[in-house]
Amino acid sequence: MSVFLDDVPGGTLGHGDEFDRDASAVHASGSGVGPHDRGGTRWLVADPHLSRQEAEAALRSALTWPRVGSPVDPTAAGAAAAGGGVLGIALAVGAFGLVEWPSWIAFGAVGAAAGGIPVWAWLDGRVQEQTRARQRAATRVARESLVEVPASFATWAGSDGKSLAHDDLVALARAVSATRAAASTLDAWRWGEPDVDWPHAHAVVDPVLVGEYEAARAVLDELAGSLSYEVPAEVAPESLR
Amino acid sequence: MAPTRERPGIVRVRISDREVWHVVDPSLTPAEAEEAVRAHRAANAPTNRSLVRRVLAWTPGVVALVVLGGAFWGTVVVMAELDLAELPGRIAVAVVLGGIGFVAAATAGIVLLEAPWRRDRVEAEAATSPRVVPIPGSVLGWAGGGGADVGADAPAAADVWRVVAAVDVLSELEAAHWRLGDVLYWRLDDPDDDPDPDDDLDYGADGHSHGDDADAGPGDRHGTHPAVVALDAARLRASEELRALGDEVGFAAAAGVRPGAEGS
Repeated sequence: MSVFLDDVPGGTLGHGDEFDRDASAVHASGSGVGPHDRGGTRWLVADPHLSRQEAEAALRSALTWPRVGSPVDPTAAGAAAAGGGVLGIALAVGAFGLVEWPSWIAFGAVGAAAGGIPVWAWLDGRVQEQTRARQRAATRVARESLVEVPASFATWAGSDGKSLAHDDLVALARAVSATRAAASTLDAWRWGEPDVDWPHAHAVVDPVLVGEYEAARAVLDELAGSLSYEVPAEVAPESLR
Repeated sequence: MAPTRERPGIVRVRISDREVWHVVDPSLTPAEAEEAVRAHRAANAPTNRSLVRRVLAWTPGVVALVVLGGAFWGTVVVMAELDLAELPGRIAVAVVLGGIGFVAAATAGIVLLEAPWRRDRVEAEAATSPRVVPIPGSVLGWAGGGGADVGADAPAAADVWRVVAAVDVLSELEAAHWRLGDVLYWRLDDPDDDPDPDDDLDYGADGHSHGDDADAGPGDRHGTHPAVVALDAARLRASEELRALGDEVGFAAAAGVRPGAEGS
């Protein structure tokens, strides 16, 4: 049985997507470009070996702002800074025999910086690297085994009397997604920046993007015909409707 | 050497308080050209400010400089009062006082950016005209002719017009290259696992549905999008055309124009 996921399932507070997704979707739909103006999308799990929980986790990690695993503990960096400061002052008093207090402050500040900053940078860099690696892995999983489809596709696939093979459904979903991607690219190229007027570049790029969309659309129409799927109008680029 | 005085077809138009050299479409008759230039000047007149406004616009920088000078003087005075003997202590005090003075000067300047006498100026958009076109910096030196004897070997306005048109097409295609990168960005492969990080526009198949039909190429995960290929080819053609035109009219295209062919 094919599994569909909602858009970013279980995106809860504290997972990095603290912003209001609905509000941002409403806001973004005004731009006319982007995935938000499609009345919701679903994600088809293409890999049958992937459990629902794993797929949801991958989607969440790939699409939401990465949550830092654990914030950097300031204790170690603070201790290093304090140690460096004390060492600097001791050096100023003992080794150099300085007696004026601004000299002690100077050596203390330099010592604290030399001790604290590298330690903190190293700890923070390690945490960031872990976060990035986790997000990279999740993004790879999401790209390979999740397909974004319109919400109507999910209801169509789940409706009664359908006996579709999983592979057929995945192929159709990939065709829909590729067509939608080409359509979004075309819309973004044409309408992304209304102020610019570049006739030469437009003459070069626009036919390529239109051709890409039409090729994807032809593949989709063929697949949809054999599976008796009615391609929704929202798949077509808005600039061609 | 940039043009120093106007001649037929090469005119100076004041835009946003700057003198910008323009070339006029050579297909116009002298009367039409004069009319076009006059209309262009009139359209851009609102972008220029009066002398008083320009002086008032300098106030943040002037005040920041004055504050900085005061901070310097104050630092000297405090250092003299403290009269420290040890060099590290003197450095520490000077650094702290200098930092305070710098922050004070920056704060004064930044606050004055929003001063009421600067806020009420009109932000007029510079108008463009298809008949009177600004000469890009890469062409300006050639358009002015060489040496002190201006006008003797300066190129004809018609040649300047053609070169400016060719350079504009080239820079349009280069700008479109960057914008196409923005348009295709969400289909970019993850740069972290990109084996060829030097290539700035390296597209795989699209993010969610790679690997089949219709996209850049079946299985061509690190391929380049056909639109980018087409745009690069057009850019190469434009730069070749510019080079041929430069050979014809004596404009050294390779020297002043950004790399089109030789850069990649």
